[in-house]
Amino acid sequence: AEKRFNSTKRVNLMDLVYNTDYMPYDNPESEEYEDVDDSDLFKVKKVDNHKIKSLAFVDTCKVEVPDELLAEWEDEDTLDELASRFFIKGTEEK
Amino acid sequence: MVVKKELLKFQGHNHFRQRLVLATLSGKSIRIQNIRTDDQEHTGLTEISYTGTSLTYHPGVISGGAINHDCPKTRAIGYFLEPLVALAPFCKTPLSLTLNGITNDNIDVSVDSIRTVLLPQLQRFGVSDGIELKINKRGAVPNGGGQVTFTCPIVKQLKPVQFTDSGLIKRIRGIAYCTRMSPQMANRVVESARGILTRYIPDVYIYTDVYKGNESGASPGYALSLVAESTTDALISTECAYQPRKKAKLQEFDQSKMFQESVNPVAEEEGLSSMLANDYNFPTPEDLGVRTARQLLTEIKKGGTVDTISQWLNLLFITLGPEDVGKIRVGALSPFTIQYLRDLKTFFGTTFKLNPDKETRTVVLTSVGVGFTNINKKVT
Repeated sequence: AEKRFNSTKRVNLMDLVYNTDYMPYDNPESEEYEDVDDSDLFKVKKVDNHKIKSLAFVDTCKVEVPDELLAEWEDEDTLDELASRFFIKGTEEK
Repeated sequence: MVVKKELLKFQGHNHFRQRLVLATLSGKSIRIQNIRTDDQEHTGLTEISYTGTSLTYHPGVISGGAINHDCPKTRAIGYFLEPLVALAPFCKTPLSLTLNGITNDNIDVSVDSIRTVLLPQLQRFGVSDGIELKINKRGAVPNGGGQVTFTCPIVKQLKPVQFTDSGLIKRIRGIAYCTRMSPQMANRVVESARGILTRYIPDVYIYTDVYKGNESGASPGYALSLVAESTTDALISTECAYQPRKKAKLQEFDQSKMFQESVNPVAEEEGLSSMLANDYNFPTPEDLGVRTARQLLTEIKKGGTVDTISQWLNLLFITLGPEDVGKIRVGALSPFTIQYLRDLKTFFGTTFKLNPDKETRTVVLTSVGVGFTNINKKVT
């Protein structure tokens, strides 16, 4: 984990996990995060063992869910699309 | 001849619990140095070493048996119970553990989620008969007073698991508990959460659990824990708990900001505000219900066969499993999981193959187990 991540070069997820000390993170809007890949899966953040207390001190597997992420569920237009992608229909067999 | 054991060295306070668990299971001694050396407010582990900033741990046999422990009020019972869930199947004798403290908060995994999400997943790995988490008393923040009893059988070896089909969500279940408050609080939480979830699926049932008298702990509180179950038995969970505010601080607290910012005056007063990952403020029970429901939808949208709080346990048990291929699909790797993968490699030499699936925006993790065997379990 000593190797530093070079933001100009794209790396795959395995490299990211095992060969850098960066963390993928869920809030791509923040300026703290760097693009690794063009997909949002690999937005990353370097975690300093001592300075990033929100992650380090608390030591929990729960993650913070930003309000912006939750706001999308207020939009009625996305309801049908999401319901069909992730939920069984009323008549479908369990 | 004295055999010198390998000593793994770590720096800093990060990932303390998981390193102790992995050291115990791998049988490797560890030394953790520079524990919060540059933090003026929370310096080190004051009771472990002379300077309080380092720790050396030589693992032995996990004995098990009947244990009773009072958890401090700084962390919820989940903080202590989580690593023990991973260790319990490999004890010398079956574990019967009673923990006293806070049962639900917004930082640690609640006892409800451990009972309804983590423990059913142990069954997939072959830890099944006799596993139980009984919630005897509820204990809310700040004074706790809750009590749970965890019993777990021991196993010789885990089963391999290949679980990559997340299926579609077929039902949602939940528990809304309430102590030392009007039972109406729990009902309001349930109604607001149901109002959102029934738009997506009709099969939603949220139990209300109102505790009275001795069972209601030392502080008033309420919380909601939700679990979505898929057609392939994947369990996706989320939870939120009411966080009380201190009266003295409330007077200074700008009420107009209360509805705009997620600021917890209790945490702010204790200097913890910047450290809390899940420091939410809920002005009404409806806010808590709506947020929990939306968090569940967000978790479901991530995809995967295991949810965020269960990722580490599945990865650990795949690593400990027989020398066979183990596979799971996760929605997004959490920072906690990333570090867990790194630590699994350090302790067991196991590297997971990570295959991102850009179509579903999920990641499939594959590895071969190390064939961990509980030598204390006799085969009959």
